[in-house]
Amino acid sequence: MVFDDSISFLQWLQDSGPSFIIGAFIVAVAGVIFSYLVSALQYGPSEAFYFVSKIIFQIIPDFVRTSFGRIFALGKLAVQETIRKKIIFVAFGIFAAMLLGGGWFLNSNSRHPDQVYIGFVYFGTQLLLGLFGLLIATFSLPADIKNRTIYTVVTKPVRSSEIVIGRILGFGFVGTVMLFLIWIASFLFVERGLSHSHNLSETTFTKIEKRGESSISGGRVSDEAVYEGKTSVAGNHWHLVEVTGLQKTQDSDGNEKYIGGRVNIQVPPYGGHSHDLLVQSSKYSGPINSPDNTDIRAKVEDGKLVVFDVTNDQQVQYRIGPPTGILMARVRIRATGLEFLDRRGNKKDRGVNVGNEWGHRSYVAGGSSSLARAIFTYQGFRESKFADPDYIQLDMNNMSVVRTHKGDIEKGVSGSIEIRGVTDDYLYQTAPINFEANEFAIKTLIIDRLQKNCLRRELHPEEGQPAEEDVGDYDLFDDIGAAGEIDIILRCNEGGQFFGVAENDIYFLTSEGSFATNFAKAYFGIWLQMMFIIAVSVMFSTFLSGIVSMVAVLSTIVLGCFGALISELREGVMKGGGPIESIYRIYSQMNQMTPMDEGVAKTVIKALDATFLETVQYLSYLVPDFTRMDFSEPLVAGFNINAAPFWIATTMGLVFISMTVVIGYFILKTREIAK
Amino acid sequence: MTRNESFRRKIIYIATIAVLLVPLSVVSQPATVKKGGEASSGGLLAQLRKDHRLSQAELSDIDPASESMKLATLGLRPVAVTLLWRRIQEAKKKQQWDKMRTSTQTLIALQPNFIKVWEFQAHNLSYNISREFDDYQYRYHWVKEGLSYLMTGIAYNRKDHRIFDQLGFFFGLKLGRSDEKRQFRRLFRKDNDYHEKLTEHGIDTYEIDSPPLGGPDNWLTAYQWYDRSRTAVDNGMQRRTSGIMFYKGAPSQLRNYAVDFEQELRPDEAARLAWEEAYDEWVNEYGNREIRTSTNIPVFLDRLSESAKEMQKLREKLDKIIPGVRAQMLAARRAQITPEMWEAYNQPMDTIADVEQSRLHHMAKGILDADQDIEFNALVEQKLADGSIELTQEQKNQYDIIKLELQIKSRDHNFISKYRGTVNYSYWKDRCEAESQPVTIEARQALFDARQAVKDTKFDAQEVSREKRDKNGNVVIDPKTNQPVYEKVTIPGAIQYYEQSFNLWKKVFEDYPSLDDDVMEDDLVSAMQEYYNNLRKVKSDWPLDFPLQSLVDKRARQRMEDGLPTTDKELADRIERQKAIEALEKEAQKANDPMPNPNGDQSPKKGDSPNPAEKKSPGETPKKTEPEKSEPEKSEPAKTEPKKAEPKKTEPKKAEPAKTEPKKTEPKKTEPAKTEPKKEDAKSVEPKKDKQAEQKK
Repeated sequence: MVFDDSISFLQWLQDSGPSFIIGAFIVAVAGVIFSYLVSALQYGPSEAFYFVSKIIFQIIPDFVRTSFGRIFALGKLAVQETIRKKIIFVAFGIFAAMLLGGGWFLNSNSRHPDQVYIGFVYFGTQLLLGLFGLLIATFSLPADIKNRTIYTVVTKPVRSSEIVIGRILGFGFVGTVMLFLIWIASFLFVERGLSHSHNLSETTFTKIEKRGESSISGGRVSDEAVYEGKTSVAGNHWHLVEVTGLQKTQDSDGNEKYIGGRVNIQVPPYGGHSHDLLVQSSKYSGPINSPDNTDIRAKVEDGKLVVFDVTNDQQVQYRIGPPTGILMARVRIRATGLEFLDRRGNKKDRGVNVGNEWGHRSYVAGGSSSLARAIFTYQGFRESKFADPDYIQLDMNNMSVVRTHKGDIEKGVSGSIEIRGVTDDYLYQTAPINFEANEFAIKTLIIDRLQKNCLRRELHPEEGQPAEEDVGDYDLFDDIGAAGEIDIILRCNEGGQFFGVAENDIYFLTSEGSFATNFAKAYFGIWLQMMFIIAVSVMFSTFLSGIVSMVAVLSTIVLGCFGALISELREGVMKGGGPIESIYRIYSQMNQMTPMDEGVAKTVIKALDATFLETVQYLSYLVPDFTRMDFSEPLVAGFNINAAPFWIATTMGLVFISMTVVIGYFILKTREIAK
Repeated sequence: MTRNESFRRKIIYIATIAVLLVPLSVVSQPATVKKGGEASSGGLLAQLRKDHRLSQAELSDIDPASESMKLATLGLRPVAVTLLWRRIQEAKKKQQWDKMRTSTQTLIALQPNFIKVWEFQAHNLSYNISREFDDYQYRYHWVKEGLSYLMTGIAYNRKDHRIFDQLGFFFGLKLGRSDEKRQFRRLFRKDNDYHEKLTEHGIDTYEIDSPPLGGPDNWLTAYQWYDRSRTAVDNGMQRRTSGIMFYKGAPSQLRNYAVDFEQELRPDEAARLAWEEAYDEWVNEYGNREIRTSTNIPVFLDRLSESAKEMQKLREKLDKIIPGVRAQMLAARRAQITPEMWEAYNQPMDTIADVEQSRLHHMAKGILDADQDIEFNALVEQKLADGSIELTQEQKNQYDIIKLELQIKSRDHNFISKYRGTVNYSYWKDRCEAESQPVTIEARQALFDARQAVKDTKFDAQEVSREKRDKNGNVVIDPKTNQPVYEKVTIPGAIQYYEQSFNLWKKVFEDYPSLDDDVMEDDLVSAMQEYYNNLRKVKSDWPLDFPLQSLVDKRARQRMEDGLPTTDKELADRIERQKAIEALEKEAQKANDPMPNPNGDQSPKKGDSPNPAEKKSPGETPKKTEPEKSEPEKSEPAKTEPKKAEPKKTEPKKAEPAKTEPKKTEPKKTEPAKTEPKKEDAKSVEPKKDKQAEQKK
């Protein structure tokens, strides 16, 4: 997970507001000057001045007197036009075909099929809606002007603003209806596509001969597992089933053997999801591992494990529940800060660089003598936020592991966390909680609310007295996190091995939200993108022909999507130079890393590229950052889309749409269409 | 614009289009077959496609999805491909593996017949992505992703064997030689779902199954892929890699299978058979296969000795036509060698530590081993020119023909020799043969037992009391007490197993000296290091009569840091002490027994090795020291194949003068028989030393 939702809405407004206002003012002034120059060429300088200033002074009255009735009427016309052109049916037909055939091409062997499915429908919807908005909105107004059907409108008492807004809303309405239908279809496609159920009725549990090693898969099983089985295949996979918790005894030769008793049967995760094993007996029905299950026990007969009902001694039937752990909307408390300690315990902003090309994660060196740590800070750590505050869930998501030596390859690298809290009087630090790292997956630690063997140190001892220290049982919320802020101190236990972390990697899971709602929120992002495309398309089509305005809109989208890329090119982060240098390199078969020969050619190429990139970079500021309206990453990763990024995207989208309306109005106003 | 103008313009457009259609038709008219078999070869492009077998149907199965995607790009396929490559690189950089995998799938829809795309991206998945994961199960998953990717590519590249080769390479080396090879091989054996997938791609699971190991084996699977590639080429597919490397793929997999088999299970008859199969594949399938060289000359790797014999026969024919010239030439060569050079030359190269000695050794070797034929021909031409020899026209013609034949044979011989060196042919041939011998299996069994004993923490021999059993296996009961009879037996520990193994290995090395190679040594050195560590555990010293001490010493001289005791350093003091004790014992024995031993075998002779480590072990076979059996023609590569079974290697140098040599009794001569030939050469021209040695005697 790499998306950053750390910034709050107010902070964003504070940071972006002033620069946006300045930018908008510059654009407005530049637009007026440009309009004046164009008009001056047509009507002469004085006439042009009169013309432009008249329009400027008409803007506010025009917008104030805007009639919603007329907008509605014009919007209705746009809807009728769209339906008449049957584009909506074509688009929906393409999407239906995509969903129907898509399943064949999706990688069913993926370890994260949910990500593949969601990514597929999300990208497909984005593409389809984007194209829809583009095609319907760019060609409409130019076609009306060309066919002179626009006269039927402009000869009526309608304002230019109403024409622009009416069209945007009309096309937007059709797009919204289409998006809604697509959202329903996509949701069903994802949910039905991932829903599956395994069977365990024909499984025979076999004894695990070598501790920790499955004789069924050849892979790992938990150290506690003593018997194993496998489910039937569903959704192109099966799960190993581990049996733990059996009582054992010694036979006459002194060999250990299992006799049965209370039994735990788990279905370890595969492909990012797991299943609950449900049983039904004469008195109990539910998950086999539930503490309420007092009716089902296991026994070993002729080396085979038999799970039976104690009441009637009948073998029980298993049922495997639906998948858990996928299609989630995890609500979390994320870290608000991350700092590192180096091997000597000195504070650092970054950890060790292990040479990864992507510098997103920083690394903590392991070893008993190493004082290196990663310290995550969490604010707003309150009991009320957790669904079950007695057992809080800490997730380590996608934490990276780097080994400098092979070590014990059968096991993950071990690490530990300590929870630290500071109140007015005391500093608390829990005993280390050890874990085995699980790279590129979610490693969950369940932490008891009551922390035993927790160290408490007095912060303000009486003068001349040593700080009082004691070790005891302390409450995570009432004592350790009483101030509403705690730290998680992460350490790698093994020498020569490293843990790589970023701020988002370790978080507290407070509850699970609704996936359907999250899916809707993510699709709202697509709606914003579509509306912006429609608005920009209408705006450009007020003064450009259909094809040209389509190219202009595409360029706008490229600027919106690749702003970061342009920035990287301009700053030299991305190797290979700008477009002219790239052409030169391709022509001369020179790779990206080879420096160009010094000389006039290099100077000219670099200067041209710099000018071009600088211009493009400034242009990119005039369009919204499309990536901010893209919520696919949290959706795919199974995280709840927080309020802050949601409102930031909404505000940004609406402001830019409003801007395009104003520009569109201004341009349409300056055009002579049957005036 | 008037109506007429518009009309005129439209007419021009239509006319231009019509004109352009003519060349377009000539260039891109498709090939057609009408009813009745009448065929049209189509336009220029269609003909070119046909000539180069580039039509889509020839290249691969027609994939509607791929074709649709190519068309959907509206001529912007290169742009789409570039964007996809960039997307893949970005996803890889940002560790978005599933996104990357999906993009690779899309990419091949656009570039289905570009073999390098398949190779590159499969490598990306199997090697680069898999290593990003810490858990070996995930690594295995991504290795399989790469393999599946490659297997998908088979249908798109039916005319190219390289995908089969890559599959063989990945199945073999990625699953069998990675750090996690044990885990990978184990997972592969149990991966029934994947075996089914392999079956869909034409791999017979019966063929790849290894019942002793408990399931299909990755090396046997790799063999199947290489074999498919080999068969395809044999059936006419164009070979796109060099013959020597191409045909090496399949046989290498069988021997790798045998190597891993022995490491994972206690070697037994099944292991021996695995090596036999590997030998058969290496020698009969590979060594006796006609391989075309880079200059398109057919050669057979296993026919080096035949080639050498034929060359020798031709030389003999030449010697008959022009007698005496060769002997004169060889004498002249020997005359160039100084006594210092002879001394250095007589020392086996692997025992030389001094740089100057090494230089002299190589100088002498350079003079003696220089190409005889070129010099011989030059000498003959010179003599013919100055009239010192005269040939009839018939003799001259014969001479020219044989000379030419010899040149051709020599060229082929050099190719064989070079190619054999490239693939380490002799070593693997000997290794396969040696490993299939019972003595080697026993040696490996003992090593396996030793390692097992270490795992069970049974380091040294233990005397235990256990129930006595008769030959039928029944417990013997004491009739008096009616209780089982107990007996004391000694159960060997790891140390004893290691020693047993090393003694057996010594025998193997004596029979197959060419196994004295880094590959084999590394295997044994780790065993010796384990042995040394375990000796320390039981507080024992490194034995002075360690069977493989010469190997340890040789590696030390080559500056390999194995950390094992060597005769020159760690063991030197102990050897001196041992010698002193032995001398004292002999003196004491003499004092007690004034009568000399009639056999004289109790007293050390001059020339006996002072190194007790070089004494024969109890089970050791006597060394082959017959000089006539170990004197191959020095210039012939047959000297690199000292295995007994090869008659070519035992050719005596009949033409050599002065066979009596003084060096026989030199203490240095304790190395394996393969070093003997050099000494024999020296003997023939070192009468001084001969005399000195006689005097010493």
